[in-house]
Amino acid sequence: MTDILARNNVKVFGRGSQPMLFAHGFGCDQNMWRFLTPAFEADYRLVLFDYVGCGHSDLSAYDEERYATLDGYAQDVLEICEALDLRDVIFVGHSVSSMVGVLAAGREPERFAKLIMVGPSPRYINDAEYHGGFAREDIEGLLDLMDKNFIGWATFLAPVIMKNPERPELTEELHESFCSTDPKLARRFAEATFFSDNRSDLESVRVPSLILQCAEDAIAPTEVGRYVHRVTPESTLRLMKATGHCPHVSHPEETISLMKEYLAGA
Amino acid sequence: MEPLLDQAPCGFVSLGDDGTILEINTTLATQLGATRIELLGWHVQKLLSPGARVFYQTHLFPLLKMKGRVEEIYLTLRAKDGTDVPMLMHALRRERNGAFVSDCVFVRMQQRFQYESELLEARRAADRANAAKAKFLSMMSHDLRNPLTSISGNAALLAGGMHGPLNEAQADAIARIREACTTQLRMINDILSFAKLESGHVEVAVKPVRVAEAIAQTERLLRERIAEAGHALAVDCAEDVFVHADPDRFQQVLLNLVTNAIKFMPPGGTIAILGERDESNVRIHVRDSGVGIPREQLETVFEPFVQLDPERTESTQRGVGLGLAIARELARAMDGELTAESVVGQGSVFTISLPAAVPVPG
Repeated sequence: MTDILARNNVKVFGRGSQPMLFAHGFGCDQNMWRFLTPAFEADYRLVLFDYVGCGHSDLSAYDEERYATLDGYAQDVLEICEALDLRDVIFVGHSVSSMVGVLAAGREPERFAKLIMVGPSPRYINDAEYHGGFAREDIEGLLDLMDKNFIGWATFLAPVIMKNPERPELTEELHESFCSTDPKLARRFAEATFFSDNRSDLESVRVPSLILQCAEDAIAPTEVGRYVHRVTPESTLRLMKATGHCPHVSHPEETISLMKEYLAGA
Repeated sequence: MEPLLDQAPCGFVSLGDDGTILEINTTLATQLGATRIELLGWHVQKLLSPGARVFYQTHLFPLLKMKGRVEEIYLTLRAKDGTDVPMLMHALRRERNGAFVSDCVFVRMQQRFQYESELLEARRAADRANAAKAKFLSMMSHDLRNPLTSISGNAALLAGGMHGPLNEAQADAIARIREACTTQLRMINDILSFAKLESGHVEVAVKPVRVAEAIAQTERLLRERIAEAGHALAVDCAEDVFVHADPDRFQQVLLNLVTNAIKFMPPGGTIAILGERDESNVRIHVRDSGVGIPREQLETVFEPFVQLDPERTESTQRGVGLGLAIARELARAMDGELTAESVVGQGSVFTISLPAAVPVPG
């Protein structure tokens, strides 16, 4: 149990009993939730974590094969649930973590009470009639950008870091710069995220869900949110005034209010 | 906008937290093939390539919001005609007139971008070549080892008289075949170990290991060879000195160092193994009284395929020059280090440093 909690840098706090498990998206770590959590501390038991390969997780636990697809990340979620013996979980997932929640709930539906999906997308790349918002070369453009920003650093910095274990500030600097201590793992997370296709997993979701859809979201456009709502049984779609893709960071008040409204109505 | 800022030799844009362009200078607007009036009020995403939009939403904006600044970010902006314009960006988020704005500076980096692209491509190609080389070495070593095992096994049967008695000349020939097999097998094993280490496929199972015990085992295994070479061995290590190490790998490193000492000393030398610890580390020194290593070669001896002194090594004792490279990689895989000091004419000291462990009873 201790291993999993240390591995995923799990933090548990709050004064309620029902667990609310927050899963960060691609690009950062559990710090992204810091604008939301104070609003739920009084009524829930909050569980925050970093996926293996992100934030302050144990990078030595990274398994290339396991984390090549979102199933590996769903396994992280289920292992955390098991380690803490979580039941009746409200799962809050941002972006790609919405699909991670769908996969986890698909495998162990009895653990989950509700899914709250912030900016979900089951597939980012356009496919025939489906409009995900991106062409494959757009994603390759992102990976190239990451290479330049991450690998560019890593190429020159990594050897310095590797050879200077007595200077942890070098690692910390990389982490502070991109919320990522290992650029290569960040890139693989990007590949697992943006080349995934979880459309067929949505229809078998047996847990009620809330979809929070931002306006002008360049990553998960409104029509993707509508698609998720149409295909996912027992889902509720709320279109937000918030623009962008990170309403929990940019518009925490509206996000909190919609979440509370949904949870109160249940 | 102030003319100085408007015409500055770099792009400038002010964004609201919702991504709206509140201010943009003429320099940046021109670089994107537009006018500043045209771009005011747009969402910043319209200035970004699709990949950069994702990067903005998943990395840039959250970091700006949480940390207040970002520096040296590479971004591709998209000009009005659809071409990508590579830029380097710095941004600062601060409160102005009661609202938060992010002030961003963009510097075009066309030439540097090409240089970095080439550098990255070269790096990727080198990584690919390295992976292919490691795979090739690993496969080759396996393929070479199999027939060798068969030769060695059959030679052992012949030597043991399983196929009838041997005359003196035959026995001598078989002995040479077996000796050559052993040398060849050692070389192949070294190559295989090194290929595995290089491709990151070696796993170490670290646990507390009593150093004195590992030294005693080394002594048992090499006692005969030390005596044959006419050397003396002295050991000094307290019983309660423990390291965090993989027992087999630690043994392998020790064996390598002592074997080198045996090989590279003229007969009658002295080998000393000394274990000492401080609060966090244990250092095991393997000292010899050999000819020493010149200062300029102290680091190169750890490089792969470097022979310490091929001229003076018997052909049957010679390896492929991987022993120390492997030993150092193994030490590092256990969060340790392997270093060398030497004085020409007096001898060398190879030191393994490993994290100290709490003594385990028994």
